[in-house]
Amino acid sequence: MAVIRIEDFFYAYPPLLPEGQPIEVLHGVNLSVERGEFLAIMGPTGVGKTTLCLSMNGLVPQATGGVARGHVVVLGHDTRTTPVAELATRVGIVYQDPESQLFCPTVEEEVAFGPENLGLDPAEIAERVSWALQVVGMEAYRQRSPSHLSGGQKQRLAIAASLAMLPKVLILDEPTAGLDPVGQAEVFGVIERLCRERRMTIVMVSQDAERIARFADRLAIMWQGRIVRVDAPPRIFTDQAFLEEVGLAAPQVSELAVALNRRWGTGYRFTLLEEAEEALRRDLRGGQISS
Amino acid sequence: MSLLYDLYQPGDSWLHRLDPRVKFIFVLCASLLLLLMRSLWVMLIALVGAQLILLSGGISWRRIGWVWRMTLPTMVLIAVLWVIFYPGEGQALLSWRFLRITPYNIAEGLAVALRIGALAFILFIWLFSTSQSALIRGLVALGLPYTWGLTLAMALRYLPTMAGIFQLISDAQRARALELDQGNPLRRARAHLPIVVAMLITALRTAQNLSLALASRAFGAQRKRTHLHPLHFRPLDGLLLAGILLATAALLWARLALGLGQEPL
Repeated sequence: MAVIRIEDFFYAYPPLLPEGQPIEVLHGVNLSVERGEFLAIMGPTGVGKTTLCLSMNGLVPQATGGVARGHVVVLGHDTRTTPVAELATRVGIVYQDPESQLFCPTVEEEVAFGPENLGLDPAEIAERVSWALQVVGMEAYRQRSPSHLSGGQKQRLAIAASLAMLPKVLILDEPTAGLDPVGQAEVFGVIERLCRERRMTIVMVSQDAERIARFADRLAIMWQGRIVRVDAPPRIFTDQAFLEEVGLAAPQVSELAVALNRRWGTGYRFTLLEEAEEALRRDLRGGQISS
Repeated sequence: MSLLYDLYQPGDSWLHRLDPRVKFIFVLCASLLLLLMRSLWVMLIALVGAQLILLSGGISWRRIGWVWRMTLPTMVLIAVLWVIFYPGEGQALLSWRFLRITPYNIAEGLAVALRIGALAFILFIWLFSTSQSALIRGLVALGLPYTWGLTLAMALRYLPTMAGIFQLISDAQRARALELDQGNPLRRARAHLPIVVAMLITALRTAQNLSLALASRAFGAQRKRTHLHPLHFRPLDGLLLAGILLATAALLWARLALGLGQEPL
């Protein structure tokens, strides 16, 4: 069953100047995401990935204004007509910049902010805060100021703040951009746990091809305001011509496969390091290729 | 982090446990009395009393010293200027042209200077012992609209962030040969223009992202918000509040009806 259904969605931001033209960003997006699925979205800068994310929790067009056509339906709610505050209990969103989404003086207050807005009982808020911090492994930092956390910890906190609203869908807009490798691993560790243990529906914009190949069920490619292809990551990452056309890079190990195929005429199509290791060991032993 | 951005000193003393509303009302009452009185002795008692409250509340010497460093130059300046520019009554200790120094104007100058120090320390009793969120919750409980409280909390939260961004942009512009420390004040101010423009753009972008983050966490969903740690007004808070109000009323009466603390000496 589709949890998110986007049909012919068109969106243009309001003009910057009164006499200007609306800024068209999305040109008829079609996409559907199943319950418990991890869908990754990739695309070059400026193709509308963030705008698409914001349309899934109603901020586009409700908070941004502008012109919207078509439908974005999340868990049966049209995001153009359902109030954002109501959607917030169903759709959690984590933005790219942790600095502008963490505004409370302590970690626990940051996580409690959403449930407090819902007017929940303090005991239930405390329960949600503890649960969300435990899921992201941040219980030890309850009284810490968010500004004293590392980049990876800040994004884990942002995820916890979303989880405390008990959403069914989590949208992550490039949550690892600008993080060091440790921070990236921390964030992906949390996302992996949410997928594996809680079967949460996740939509994530990322340029991290290696990790998308490892974790995502499907990969959607955005290009010039449209979704141009949705497929299993290995099928997309081994399609070199397509990737070149849309200006994206495959995981390095897939590029290695292309180079080996060119060199030896083999037909490797691996996207994960383990797959490459296994295939190369097997073929080296079998004598199909030589070192 | 600088004390300027992070005034609260975490702790579990009687002062920390006191309801933030009681502390706020204490600040208001004490400030009102200090502004109405002129006695050097009253100011001295208030200043010493504030130090004792801070120390008994577990506030570190470092923080108390920080307030002294901030206020002492102003206090000294006020005391000196007062003595010079306000000719005192009574017998002069020194008289030269317009200068007329008397025990009265020395006491008056000292009282005004001590009043500045006492007011500062009384304010910092509240700020050092109350976390930012408790401070805002207290003000909201006293009738401040929540959105105002949140705005205040965010302004405090983003002060160090904005200071960091300012430093970053300044360094980046300096690396491109912008001279910020050269020339007269007007030239220096003009040199800061590119930094101010970049800061404004950054601040606007942050504000926009922040508004999206607030909306996506159901801000404004309910007219009445709840809190993870609601304020609890304990009997001791009630007792202290009654004491503060009674003492304020008594001192006000004594000041207005009996003229207590009306004269510097």
